[in-house]
Amino acid sequence: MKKFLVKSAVFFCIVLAVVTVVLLRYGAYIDYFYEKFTVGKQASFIIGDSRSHQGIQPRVIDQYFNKGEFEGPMFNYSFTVSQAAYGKPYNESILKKLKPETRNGLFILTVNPWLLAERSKDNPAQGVYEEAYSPPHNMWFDSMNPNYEYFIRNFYYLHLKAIVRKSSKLHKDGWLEENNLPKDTVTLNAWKQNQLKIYRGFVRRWKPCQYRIDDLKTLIAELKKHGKVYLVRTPVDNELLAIEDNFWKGFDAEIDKVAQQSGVKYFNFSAANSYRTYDGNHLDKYGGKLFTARICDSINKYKAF
Amino acid sequence: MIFNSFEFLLFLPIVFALYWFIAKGNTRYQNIILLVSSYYFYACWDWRFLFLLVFSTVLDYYTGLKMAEADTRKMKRFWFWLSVTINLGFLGVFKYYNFFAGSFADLLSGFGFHADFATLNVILPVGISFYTFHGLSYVIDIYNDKIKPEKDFIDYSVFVCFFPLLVAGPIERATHLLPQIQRQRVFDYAKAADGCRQILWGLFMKVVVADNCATIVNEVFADPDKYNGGSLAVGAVFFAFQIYGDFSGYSNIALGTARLFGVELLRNFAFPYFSRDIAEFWRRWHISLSTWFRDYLYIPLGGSKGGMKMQIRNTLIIFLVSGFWHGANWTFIIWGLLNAIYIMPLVIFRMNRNNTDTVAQNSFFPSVKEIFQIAVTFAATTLAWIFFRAESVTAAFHYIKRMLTPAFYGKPEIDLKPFIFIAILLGVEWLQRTKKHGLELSNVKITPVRWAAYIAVFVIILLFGASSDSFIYFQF
Repeated sequence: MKKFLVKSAVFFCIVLAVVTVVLLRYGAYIDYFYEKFTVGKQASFIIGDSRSHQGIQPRVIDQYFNKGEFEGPMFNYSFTVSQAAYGKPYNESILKKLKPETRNGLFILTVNPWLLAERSKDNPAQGVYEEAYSPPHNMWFDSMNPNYEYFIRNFYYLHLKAIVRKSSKLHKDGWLEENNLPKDTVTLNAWKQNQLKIYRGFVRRWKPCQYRIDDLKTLIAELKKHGKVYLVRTPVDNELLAIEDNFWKGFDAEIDKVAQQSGVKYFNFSAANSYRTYDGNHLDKYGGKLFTARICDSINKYKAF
Repeated sequence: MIFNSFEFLLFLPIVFALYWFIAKGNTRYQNIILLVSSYYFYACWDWRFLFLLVFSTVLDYYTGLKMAEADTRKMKRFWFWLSVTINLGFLGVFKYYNFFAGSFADLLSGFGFHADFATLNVILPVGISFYTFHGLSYVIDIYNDKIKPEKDFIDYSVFVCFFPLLVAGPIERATHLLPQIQRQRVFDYAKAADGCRQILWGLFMKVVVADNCATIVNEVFADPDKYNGGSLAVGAVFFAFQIYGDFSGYSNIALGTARLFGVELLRNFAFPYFSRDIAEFWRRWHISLSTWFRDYLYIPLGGSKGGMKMQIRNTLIIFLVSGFWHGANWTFIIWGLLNAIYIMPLVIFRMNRNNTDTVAQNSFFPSVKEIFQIAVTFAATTLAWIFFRAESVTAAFHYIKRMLTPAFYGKPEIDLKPFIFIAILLGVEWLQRTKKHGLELSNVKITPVRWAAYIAVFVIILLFGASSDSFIYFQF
């Protein structure tokens, strides 16, 4: 038995060493979210789904505003639409990641109908949120490097083959940079069709709801204690926008109302289709840079600081 | 909780430590630990079905005792049929009710009648086909006076519920497993070490081979019209390796896990894709189920003793029942039928035991004849697997038609990378074809070589493992 235990321990140590090296050296490439859980608590956030995950670049905001205008640096704490929707789990996760002493933070909360829709497995009466078992909501330790908890709990999100390819990189500020995107229109059009298919699926399974709007209001109220909050709707291609507008008629009016009630500003860029998306849904890094600068202009224009 | 999950990675060492360090060679305590952990393991899926499992265990335990106590043959038969009826009744309700209701309604509508049978929205309890067959073999053996009933309820329960085999087999026999549960188990280093290797190899088969193939297979089978004939052919080959990697991988993990507890389970796979004919394939694929059907269906039906006609009839029956056992869908029945058709010429011309040895036993490479035989057997099984995988019989025929129509033929346009993993699998299995599993390296005396192999397999799993949260055979 002793021999067995010793050899098992040796094998376990080798396994642990390999995993540690992979996480420390390639963590940014092997997972779209992992690095977000390797940095400490933050003071200013970009919140939302994959649109803001790829489309809003914290470094652009940090460079735009003078030091001291807000408590930086910005941190992109966006995920994907299936993981991150406004609701109790996401609210808890955001507030857990927030430095409690923050007083002059900047919070850009992106909104769209999908982030506020009732999902098929939601049960509002019993406080059940469909996304509750995916990251970031299933994590105890959100600021640990290397983060073994993420590796264990969310192993199936990891794509370790990317050690070789490195086509997408998650920066330490939480922004996902997509490199090596295809340039041929056939592939890109196929991607766009796939996005349309996904969102048409959401139309069938999800519906507009009030309780996630209420959760958004709660989040705004909490974040306002720590700084300035802005609501932003990111640009998408016209076909996708049509699906959204049809899914939740009067969505912008609803968000305007939320903004008014909460005393924050809503910037609606949904129809600003001068920014380049690569699949109809996500801004590429060039479009994202311009769009982030535009958000900064808008914030600046309203003399927020 | 599935074998390739981190929950299991925590669960297994805890049970191992309790079993060897707390129970310390006390068989009674060891069995209690195994039983409690097996119930916990099962409850992780759905605790409500634990009651069904316990009921099934109590039923077979009790009827087993009653059969032994029975004064008359009539009474013994009563208890026997009570157990068989209830066991098959549960299986029927949970697994086959909707199939029969739907098929009967279809049949009536063919005659112009409209019948609207209520279908049940029932969840299939995981592993029900396996533990039901497990229990059935026990009561049948008692009825036929092959074994005496087990008087100790804990020991019997461990025989039924032992967690490595609970949800997807192998389907054990009381004659093989119960004596191991009754006797004292002493830790055996060689057995435990080889069990770990077997687990590692099983993980490779499941996570690297099966799950990488599954990604492509799911896309191809979801919409065959999008793909040319070459892609569909590759999709079918990938499914053949998906189901093999998935089920054989599971079995390897199950057998390896059991060996950590000093228990040897029945072998379920013996490198089936090196078979030279379909009869050999069925001696090497899902062995515990094939032998179950042989012993409890084929032989009681008369086997091969009643002449050629009876042998053909019985062969046909076991393949159809085997197909039906896999699921309540006509696709499985046709899959069984196809295999029966494949094997029939071998049965008729008494060639079904031509290949009972290991392929290329005395040489490194197979002969040209053997390569041809292996290729033909693999092609035939792959064609049958299309029915196994397709959503409906119509979809399967559509897939095959499109795959074989020259007009649709073209170079495969799907990701062919899984062939790399398949090549590794086949290469290793070829080298190890006389061994029990792909990573049985006990004869390799140079420690660094063995360790290099373990680390290499682990790194491949880590880097190239794809995601899937289930095993195919859990649904059966």
